[in-house]
Amino acid sequence: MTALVSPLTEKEHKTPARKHRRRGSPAANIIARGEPMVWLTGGALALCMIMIIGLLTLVFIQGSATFWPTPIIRAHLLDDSIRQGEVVRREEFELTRDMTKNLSGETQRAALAQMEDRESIAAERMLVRVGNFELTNTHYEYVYPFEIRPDGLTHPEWAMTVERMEWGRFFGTPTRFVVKHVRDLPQAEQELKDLLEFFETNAYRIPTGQEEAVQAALTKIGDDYQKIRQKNSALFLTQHPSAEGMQIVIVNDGGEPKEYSTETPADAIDEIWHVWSDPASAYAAYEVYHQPVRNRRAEITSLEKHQLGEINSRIEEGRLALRQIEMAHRVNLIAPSDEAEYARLQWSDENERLANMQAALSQWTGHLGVTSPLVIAARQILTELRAVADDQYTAWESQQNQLREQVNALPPDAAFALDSMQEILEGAHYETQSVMTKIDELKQENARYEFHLLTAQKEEIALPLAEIVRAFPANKVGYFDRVRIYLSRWHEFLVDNPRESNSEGGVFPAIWGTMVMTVLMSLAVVPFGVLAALYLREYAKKGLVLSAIRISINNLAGVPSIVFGVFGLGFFCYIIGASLDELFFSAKLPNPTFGKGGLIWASFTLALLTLPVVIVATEEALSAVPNSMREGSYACGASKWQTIRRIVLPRALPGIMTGAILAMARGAGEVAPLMLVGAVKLAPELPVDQLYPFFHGERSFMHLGFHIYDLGFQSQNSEAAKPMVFTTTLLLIVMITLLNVSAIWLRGRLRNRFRVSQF
Amino acid sequence: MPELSSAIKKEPTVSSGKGLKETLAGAVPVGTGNAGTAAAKPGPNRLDAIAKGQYVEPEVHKTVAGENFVLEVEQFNLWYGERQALFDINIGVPAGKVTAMIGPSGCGKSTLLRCVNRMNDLIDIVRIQGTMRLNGDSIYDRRVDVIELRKRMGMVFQKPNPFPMSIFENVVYPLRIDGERNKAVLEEVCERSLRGAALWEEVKDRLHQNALGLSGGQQQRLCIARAIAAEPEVLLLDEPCSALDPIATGKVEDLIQEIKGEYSILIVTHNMQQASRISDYTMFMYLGRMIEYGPTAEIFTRPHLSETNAYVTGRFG
Repeated sequence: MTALVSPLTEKEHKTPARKHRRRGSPAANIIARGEPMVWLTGGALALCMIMIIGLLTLVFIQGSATFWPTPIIRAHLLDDSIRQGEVVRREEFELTRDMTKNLSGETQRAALAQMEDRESIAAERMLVRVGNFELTNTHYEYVYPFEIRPDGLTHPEWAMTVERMEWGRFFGTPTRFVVKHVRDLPQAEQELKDLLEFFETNAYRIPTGQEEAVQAALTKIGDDYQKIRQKNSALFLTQHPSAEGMQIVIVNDGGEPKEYSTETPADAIDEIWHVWSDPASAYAAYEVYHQPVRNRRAEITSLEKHQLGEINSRIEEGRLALRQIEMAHRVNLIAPSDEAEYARLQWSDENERLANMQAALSQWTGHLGVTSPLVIAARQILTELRAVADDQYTAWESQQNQLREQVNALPPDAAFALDSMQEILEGAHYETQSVMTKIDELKQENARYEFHLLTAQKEEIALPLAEIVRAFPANKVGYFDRVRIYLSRWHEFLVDNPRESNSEGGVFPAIWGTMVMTVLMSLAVVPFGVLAALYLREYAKKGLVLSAIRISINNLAGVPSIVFGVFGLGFFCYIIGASLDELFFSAKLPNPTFGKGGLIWASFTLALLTLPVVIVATEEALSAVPNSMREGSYACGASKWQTIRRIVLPRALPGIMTGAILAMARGAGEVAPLMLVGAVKLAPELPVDQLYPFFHGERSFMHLGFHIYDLGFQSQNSEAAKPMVFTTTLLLIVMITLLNVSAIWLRGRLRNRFRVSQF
Repeated sequence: MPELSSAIKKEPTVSSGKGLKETLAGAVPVGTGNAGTAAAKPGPNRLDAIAKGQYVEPEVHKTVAGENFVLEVEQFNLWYGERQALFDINIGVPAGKVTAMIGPSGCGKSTLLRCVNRMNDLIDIVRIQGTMRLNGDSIYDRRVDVIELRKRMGMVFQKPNPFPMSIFENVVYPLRIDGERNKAVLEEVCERSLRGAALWEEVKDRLHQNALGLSGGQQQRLCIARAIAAEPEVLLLDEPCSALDPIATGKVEDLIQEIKGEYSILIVTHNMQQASRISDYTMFMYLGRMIEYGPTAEIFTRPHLSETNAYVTGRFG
């Protein structure tokens, strides 16, 4: 072995110590041992964690506290005004001598007394949500500690928080709960009433010379009517007896409501009101009646939305068909057809009314005899009315004939379109009438209930029960009731439509829009991205062009998202969408169908935005598939595509999924481009409904991210919107987390299938 | 990557008319690097001559020429870009026998093996010259369908490479890509191949479990089963035992012994004991040239060339 040692090595052997001695300052030593790097890297991680956790905690605490019901305070101020409401927050401020100059009388003296002779002091003020916007014109008021009277701060026992459909919150103490019972008229009474009304409205048509006879007959019938009315009223009173803790109020003959006692004359009662007038029983009654009223209201909304919506869309369809004929033959059809149809419907309504009168007349003839002056007069009046109706009919006929002539000159499809349009309009008229009758009935039923509350300013306000979303005595409810209210508010938030310019109610359309848009975006981006990456990685020849394309794709990921929004608006909406409109929806122009922002265009824009993420991740996943597997497949005689499909893609699937997850997370949280391509402040019409073709990708939609922006910066009631910003943010974070977790879970399952064993 | 087979630049073959046996008897030097410096000088120092790029006459034992060849290679040269990796290879692989290729790392054994089923098509920079014939059909002809060609051969790689699917699907993969759907046929082939690879008894109860759950030795035998599933004409083994432990190696070697009558096997190995145990013929290669080719017993006990002797006895390499 010695022979192998070269002279150089021998030389080194002489001075081994010098070569291996470590020199340097103690600082260098510490760096060499590497501990500062541990601190540096660990510190960086800790800083990141603190910021992320801090943000999440802030969002969580603020967001989850929004719906917790807080007690109500009543502050009696020195200037004799009263503030009642929820304390939103307490904050420090600097009270200066200048500020006290604007104060009045006693308040100023109190403030100065508190300041003593200092120029400024730190004081605390409360922001109170006073509500009752229709009375006070404000939602919030500041209350300063020095302006409250001694012992002026109380928690009124029965103060209630009322959440309403409109005007925001209401604070007050319950005074009365009213249930109105309206008397139904029995047939005999109704007939007499109709008769009297008929002659009242047609008084000027009574044939000359018969006035006196008619008047005499009417007076007699009026007496009969009064008698029958009194009898029925007495019966009505026994049908609605008083109960424990309840007062009876009656409305006589359209007059003022007055309290009923056995002494009051009970003639001609139109309505009986059951009134609970102490807070406890009023609230108890409210709790009994509130839910059925709300259910009826929901039914009204559903009738309006679905049935009327369906009728409208049918009319719209017929109108479009007609419009196409108009455009093809350069004629004017829609307006005349509408006019003609309107005239016909007017005539047919009149006709129906006359038929009813005719029926009533034969009734009267039965009761009064053919010779009664009333019957004779009525018959003459009816004949006159019939003549008017016949005139209407002739007017319609001439309009219709004109229209027919015009249409008959055109190809047969014009006549067909006109026929179907008129058929649709006729059907729609009767259907609308029946739906409206149903809605009116429900509304009348709901109008029977009223909740009266007394504001702190001693003003009694009657709230229709249907307008109340939720009401509870905030200072009386126990812990479990608070939890119940809290959960019910969350439930409302998740499943309802927004109201009060988004600052109250739910965000269901926004949740829905976010979900559907994210899914559509993923469906669009993943296939495209994967195919592109497959070509880049498996087929493309390596070289300058390929590198240039790769660099471009990576750069695309750095383009500001608003640029994608502008591109989406210009390309998808104004070029593709407008072309679609020209081709398929020209009848609706100039109203755009696809040529504006919409769900599919937003999804495509975000797909474009997230494309680089998918391509890069897929490329990495593909290059991580071992070449030995490809070779094994080729050696078995597989073609390139067979190898990709059967070996490479399954193996790369978890990696591709990772890319899809990243893309999804990015897309779901993106807002800026959406503002240009279809997200709007309020779109309660979901892009999926029961109307053909069920999916309406061209519709605008709501998005949680945009909702947050809108609440935070566009809301008129910014104090009320602020907590909602946090809550919506919390919801968005939770949603994206859920989306990601489910995707990661799916990927985990796939990955288990391709687990590589160790050997 | 575009279709690779078309990307390869094939140069016209020089000696296509001549039969292989004549070529083996007296090879014609072709494409030597710098022939001007020194004439071919077969002498004691062949290795130095090769290192200098001079032509050296390969030594082929007479016994080889008497065999019936399943695979014939004539005047085969290969370049990776500018660098030549195979020089004037002229060999025949006997049918139904095991032929081993030995030689130090980088001598071109694997390259030659991968040329047989045109796996080198996958590498852009490879360029070849010369002829190969499988049972008389040219391999590198312009009209040859590479995919059909590969279906006539089975190949097993250095590292076990089962596909990420069930054992059953792994074995019947060559049939699947041919579009075979008949379950009975697939099951029959699966059992036959697994029995052929001596794996049937171990996996018959878990055919539908993931193949990646098998041990290394089992995985390699599974790859052999996959390679013989399509009943290939030649089985190409590229150091099949180098990633396996001795017990698994023993099993694979036994397997090769069992199937050698049925299949013609060309095996690359670094392990000289292995070559001597399992092969009928052995070929010694060095720096891209075939040095000596003969019956295994002769190569290991009384090689014609001293260099071969030095290598098989472990004095260099």
